[in-house]
Amino acid sequence: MNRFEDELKEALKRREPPPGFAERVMARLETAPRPGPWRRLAAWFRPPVLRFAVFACIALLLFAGVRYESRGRERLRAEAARDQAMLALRITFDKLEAVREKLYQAAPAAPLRVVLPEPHRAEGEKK
Amino acid sequence: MKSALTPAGQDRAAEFEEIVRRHQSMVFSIAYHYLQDRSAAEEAAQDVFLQLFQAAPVLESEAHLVFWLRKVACHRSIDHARRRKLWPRIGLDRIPEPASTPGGEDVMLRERLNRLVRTLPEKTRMIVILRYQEGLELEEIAKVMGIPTGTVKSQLQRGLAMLRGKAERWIGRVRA
Repeated sequence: MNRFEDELKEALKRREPPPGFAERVMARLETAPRPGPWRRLAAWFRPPVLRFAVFACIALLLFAGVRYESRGRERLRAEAARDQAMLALRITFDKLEAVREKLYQAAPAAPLRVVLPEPHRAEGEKK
Repeated sequence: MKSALTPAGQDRAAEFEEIVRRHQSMVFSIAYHYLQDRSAAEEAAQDVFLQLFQAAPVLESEAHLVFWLRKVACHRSIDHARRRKLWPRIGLDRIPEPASTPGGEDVMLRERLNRLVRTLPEKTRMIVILRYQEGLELEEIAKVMGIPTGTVKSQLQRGLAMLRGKAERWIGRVRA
């Protein structure tokens, strides 16, 4: 800062207001109109309150979104498991049906005899 | 500091009065150097504090409060000047010569500079006041006035050049 700027700084030094300034401001407050209900209501929408409200809304939406998403995934998993079970049952049914068909074709008149597999026997054991 | 003021009652008035006393010279000086009229400056400064009381802005710190007061003081001063047509451009020839004082040439120069500031265009004048009265950086002035930093820089340089030229002419005349 050069000498000119120093002089300018000195020239623009702060000055005290006339005596009794604060008292006159306080006196003006007495006669000044009070803030109305709309202004008080508007105070709720000032930045910090608004910021908090927006933050709360975003947090709530995120929470709801995550819950919805996880429930959706669970439902999809359950549906996939049900479909797999149904497919397995259908395949089993088809196989059994094919076996039954073959059995009928081989001996249509013969009574159905269930042949159970022989139990395992230890070697050297007599029949 | 959550808010500039507590919600209501006696404490609120006492707290507000304390704020007024603490910052009155800053607010008054901004208005005075801008308007160059003590009664108009007092009216503008009172308006600033009244606005603080009525609007009760949510201020997070003392620095935030000072920033708010400076900003509103700037706007109020400009409004006052425009409204009352207090600010017709005053030519150098219409500014009275300061009386010779015991302090010598320096005091006269300061007095002259003070008067010359009001010959500056309104935006430039406020930038000079914020820079040399309040000692703000260019970025801070830009924030207070809501204009780009580049504009502040160029206006400040322009203002200083104008002031320097006028002051040099005056010094030349005084010494001649």
